[in-house]
Amino acid sequence: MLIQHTLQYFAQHTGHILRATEQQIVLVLIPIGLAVLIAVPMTILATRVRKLYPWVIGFSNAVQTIPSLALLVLMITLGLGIGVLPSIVALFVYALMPIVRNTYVGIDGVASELKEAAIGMGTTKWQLLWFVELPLALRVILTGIRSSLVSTVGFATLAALVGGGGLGSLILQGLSMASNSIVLAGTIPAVLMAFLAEFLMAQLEKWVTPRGLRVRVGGAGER
Amino acid sequence: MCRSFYFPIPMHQLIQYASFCLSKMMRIGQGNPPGRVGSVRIARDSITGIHLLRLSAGKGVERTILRFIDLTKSYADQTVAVDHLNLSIERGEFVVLIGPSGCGKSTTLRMVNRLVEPTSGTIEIDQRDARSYPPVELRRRLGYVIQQIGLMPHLTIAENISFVLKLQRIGKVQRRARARELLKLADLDPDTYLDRYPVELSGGQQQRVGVLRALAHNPEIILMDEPFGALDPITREQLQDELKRLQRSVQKTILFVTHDMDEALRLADRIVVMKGGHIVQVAAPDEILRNPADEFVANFIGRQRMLGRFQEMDLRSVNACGADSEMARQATPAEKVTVNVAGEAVRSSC
Repeated sequence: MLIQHTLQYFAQHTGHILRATEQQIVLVLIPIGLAVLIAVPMTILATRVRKLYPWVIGFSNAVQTIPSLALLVLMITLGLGIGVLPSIVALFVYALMPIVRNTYVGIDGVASELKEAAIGMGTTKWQLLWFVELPLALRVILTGIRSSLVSTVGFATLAALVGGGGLGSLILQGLSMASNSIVLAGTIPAVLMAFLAEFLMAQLEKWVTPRGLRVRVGGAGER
Repeated sequence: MCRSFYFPIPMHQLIQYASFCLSKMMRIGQGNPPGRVGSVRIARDSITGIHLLRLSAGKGVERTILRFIDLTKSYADQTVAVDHLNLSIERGEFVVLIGPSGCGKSTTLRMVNRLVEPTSGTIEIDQRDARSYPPVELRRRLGYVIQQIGLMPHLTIAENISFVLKLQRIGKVQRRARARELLKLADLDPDTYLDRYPVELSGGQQQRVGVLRALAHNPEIILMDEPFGALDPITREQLQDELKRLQRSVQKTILFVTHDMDEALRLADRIVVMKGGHIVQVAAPDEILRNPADEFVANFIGRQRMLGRFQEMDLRSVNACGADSEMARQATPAEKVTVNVAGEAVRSSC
């Protein structure tokens, strides 16, 4: 019964759902893109200038402790009003923490003897970062981006509460009309998006990991 | 004596480098009679195609390549790692720093490539204060091998060997050719190893690559910080023999740190025994065994080894003349000798 109604809704309001999905994609990609562009360099800087680290991680952690709903409302009180802009800002700051944490762990976790060997061979600071630290930390950084991305897909549905649109608006509409099929019309694409994001990021991680870094089972070592 | 040093560098930098080197050599020559400065030539490496700057030093050039003058390193908590160390190392010499842990041998080594900055005193490389080089440039003139191997796990063997060349922005084709050439030098089949990753190699093979990596840019001086410490005894001895052979063929100056007396005796032209930041004794292996400077050196060598090695040394001095052990045995008739065969002491009487 429910399935039938949901399918019916999908068929009748395809354009509406597609538009909401599009909005949802914008609500996810822009904050994540910004978070990557800002958090990764900031955190790398924090691995050089240790004094910065408590501020960088402190801010991104503190934001995470605010309930997501409250954060959206906070944007209104901060004077950003309602609509897409406060949603993007809220999603952006919410997405920082996993990226900051993993970038730091990834860069900081590069074995000190490798760094020392590289410095001893005459790397400049940039070469050390570019040829040694980033390639070795890349997988961990991507894992951070992945968890950030997946949680943002979920969180982005709440943007509808402050008029940000997206799939959340379908869910809200369904709730107010007490129609499960409309709720599902918003939920199913959101879930699929989360799965797709997860899958694509996993593929990306695999693709960027050179053979030498993949864990070998029953390694071809001694010969 | 006349020696040549090669620097692989991109073509467009040659002119710049040539003039720099010339001015540098003029400075070296200043203390010497005129006309003995040397020459600068541009040569093309036939195998790699890399353009090399060839500096031929004149006869007046000092044999000393590395000199420590009152070298001291102390830390904020008043501990002194290296205390007024004085030492001169000649070109092509294999010098081993040895001592118990905390004696300052590693610190001394790491001050050469400025991973550690001296508190006071001077390190002269080619008569020039090491501090007058920018650290990055200095390090690229030196080879560096460390205990934990330090191969980059995300890079292939070819990329690892030519890592320093990559830092110098030398093209991929040339880098690969150089890696191929060096693998051949160590009797490793290039086609098998070039595209492998470090995890696909055994520990011994990895450290062979680690040594080759230090040779890739043709440094005059190679620094080695307990490079074979993590290897099993048999592999370690193989690599020691290979290193000694390699050093003879490429004529590099090697400064080697170890705490293993056997290793020092096997490799060194001169052994520097250190304790508490001081030099206790500097001498050839033979001499150290015969005349240890004091009780500390004697204990460090170990009575057992002194006895065993003493006889073995006689054999070795004969070996050095190109004789094999069979001939050596004939040369010391009616004498009991200890022959070291692949790390095992075999007693034989002739």
